[in-house]
Amino acid sequence: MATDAQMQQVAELEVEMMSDMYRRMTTACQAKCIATSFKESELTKGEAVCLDRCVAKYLDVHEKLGKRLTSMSQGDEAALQKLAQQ
Amino acid sequence: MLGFIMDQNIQTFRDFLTQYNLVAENCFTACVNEFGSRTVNEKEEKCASNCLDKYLKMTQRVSQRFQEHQMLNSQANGAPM
Repeated sequence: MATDAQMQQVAELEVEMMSDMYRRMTTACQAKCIATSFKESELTKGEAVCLDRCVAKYLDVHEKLGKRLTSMSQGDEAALQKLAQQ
Repeated sequence: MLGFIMDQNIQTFRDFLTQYNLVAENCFTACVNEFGSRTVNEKEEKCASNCLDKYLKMTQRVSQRFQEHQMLNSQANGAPM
């Protein structure tokens, strides 16, 4: 069974990974949506809409891949257990 | 307890400095391209200042949308907020 210290470590790792994801998302959406001429200091309408969609899509892809990875690793585990039983 | 508070503040300070370095790097790369003079000219300064303002507005917007997403997610999963 997991100890309190281990649970704590898992929680910390989750926070760390979440902020890493957030940082990557921000960088990716900046690259995709923000023009680099910087003629003005306001976000243009187009940039703002692009950012909104970019965040939604990034999180969607993140979630979908997470589900796939989870099912893949569960499939692997099941296969390994089958092998061990033979 | 004091150690915990210190850790939190150090982490916040570290995050701030990292962001600062990142935005400086991005805005320098985007705005400064000519090296005929050793001083930052008016155009480059304006560009860098717009770049910073825009970066702050961008991160604010991204953060809002992210928070909305998290909120909807936790409501959908029935987790207490």
